[in-house]
Amino acid sequence: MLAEDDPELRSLLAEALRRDGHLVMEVSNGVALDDVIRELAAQSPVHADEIVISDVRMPGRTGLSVLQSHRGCPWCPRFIFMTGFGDDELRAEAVDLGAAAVIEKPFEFDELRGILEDVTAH
Amino acid sequence: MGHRSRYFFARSSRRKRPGVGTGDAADHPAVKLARKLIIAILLSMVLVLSVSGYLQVRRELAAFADDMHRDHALVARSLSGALISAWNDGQRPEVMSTIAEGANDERVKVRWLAATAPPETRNRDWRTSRFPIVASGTPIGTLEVAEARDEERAYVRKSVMQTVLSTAVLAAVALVLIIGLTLWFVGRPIRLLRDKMKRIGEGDLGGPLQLPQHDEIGELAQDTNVMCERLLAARQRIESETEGRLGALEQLRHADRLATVGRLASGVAHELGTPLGVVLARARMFQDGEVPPGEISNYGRIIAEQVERMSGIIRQLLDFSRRQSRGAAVASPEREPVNLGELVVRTLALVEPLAEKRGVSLTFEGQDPVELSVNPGLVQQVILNLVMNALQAMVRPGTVHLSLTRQHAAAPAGVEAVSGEYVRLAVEDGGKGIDPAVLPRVFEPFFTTKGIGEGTGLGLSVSYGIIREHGGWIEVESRVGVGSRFLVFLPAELAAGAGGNHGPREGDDGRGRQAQRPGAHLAGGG
Repeated sequence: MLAEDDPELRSLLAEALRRDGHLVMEVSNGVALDDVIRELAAQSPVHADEIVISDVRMPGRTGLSVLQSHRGCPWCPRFIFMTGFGDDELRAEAVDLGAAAVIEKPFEFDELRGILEDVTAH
Repeated sequence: MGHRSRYFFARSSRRKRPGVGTGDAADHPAVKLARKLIIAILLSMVLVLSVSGYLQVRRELAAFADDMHRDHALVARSLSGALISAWNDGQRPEVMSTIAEGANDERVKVRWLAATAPPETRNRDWRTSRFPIVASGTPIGTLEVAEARDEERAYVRKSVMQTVLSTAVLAAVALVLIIGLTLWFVGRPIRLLRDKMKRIGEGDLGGPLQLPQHDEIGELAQDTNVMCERLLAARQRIESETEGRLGALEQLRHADRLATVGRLASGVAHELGTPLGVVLARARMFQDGEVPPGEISNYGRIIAEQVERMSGIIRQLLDFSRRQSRGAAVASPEREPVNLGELVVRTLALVEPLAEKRGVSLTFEGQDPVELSVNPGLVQQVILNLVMNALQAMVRPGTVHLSLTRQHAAAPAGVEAVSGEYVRLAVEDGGKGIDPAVLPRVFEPFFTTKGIGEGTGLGLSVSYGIIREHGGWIEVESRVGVGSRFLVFLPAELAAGAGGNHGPREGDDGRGRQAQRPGAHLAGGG
């Protein structure tokens, strides 16, 4: 699942992820992300390989608040956050909330690919 | 300002009388004084001379009368012998008269009167003297000697003429002397002193007054010179102190600006991440030859767009900081016509990333364009400070609402500003509010409730100073747990075209604000 408010970056990442063979679902804001997660949770109880790659700052709700609202639920996707560079505070906050990983923008797609492999391997 | 307007009046009144120049003695106050002195001295001198002349004429007349009387007595004595012997010889009164009249001539008439003759009567043309003639203890008659008064009159005329003439000559000589001496010793130095005072009033303290006199006026000139020197020294001291204070004020503003730029920078850096990521990914695709031939121009366009977006973000921050440093270069704020609504929108764009990060939405509601002649950089700093404070006060997602209205307002107590039409910018948050106990202190420099590293305690104090410099003020209302509302009032007379000279009155600029305890009057409004 890919949540990013910037259409350019979102389509770019989605394209690259699809090329890698992932099934990508795109949303453009926090509220939509939350809705999609709830929908998926209602449909099927366990999707161990569902991963949310989300921007932190998005219109409506931040990625962090979405993570917070699903924290501790029986079905909880793992979150990889994309943040602006130089924001250590935000990174620490995300890790505290249980984010699987945080990646700083701008990043090479290979970095994201590596993190994604790490997260799915666990 | 006081002396300036006085000077203006002095000039304009002079202008009303064409042809009367600065050097015209007739209109000069110093000459007026000299003229008064001259008239006073002259009047008293004429009085003294007249009295003395009058007395002299009288004295001479009395002497003349005595003289005549003596002459008459001589005539009477010379006749009395003949008369007495005639009487003894038993002569009749007719004979006596004949004897007496024998002494007559043109100007002197002698008459023999009986002892019982009526008392003499005054005669306009004749001066008469009577001498009783006594023979062996018995009054036998009276001899009257009368002399024509024409000679006496001629003498009186001559005497009066001489006195008047000498008085006039004396007065003329004295007049010339008095005028000359008074003008030289009083008029000229006083005129010089007055010119000097006028120069001092106009602020020109140089050019010491050189008067060679060693009298009170000379001392006054010396004292004036000493006073000027001291004033000059004091003025220089004040200037350097003011400069220092302005410098300190500017440093405070600079510190606040740096803190603001720092806080904005993290938001800007965050903003840059996304477009940088896009550019990087597209560039890598070019590098790896993954770009389909038909997409090359499309990819190039995307990269250019992203770069432009980044430039826009950086330019916003740069605009803020650059305008500030230009404002800092001059002591008095440069003003230019600014659409306040546009300035607010521009400022909000700068804070948008920070607001998003906190899940706060920024709304702005402005009426018709409000154009004011202000220092845009400084006013933007104020708006930024207030909005960022509002953001920091928001402990949960919500809305910070700004509105721009015009309204009639009266300055609160402690603020010297006329009541009238004001432009009001309200910044309203739904944050934690301000404790009523600290509300009166929020505009004090270095007062902060934020943790170390979060706030300098300068923002509101600097903002207040900036708005005071523009002739307005800031009010604050707050309720704990509900939110705060900051109201910025700027005089509507700052409207563009009115010029930038609507600065604060002397002694009422931002530098005096620390003593005013602004906001204290609002403590109960929270």
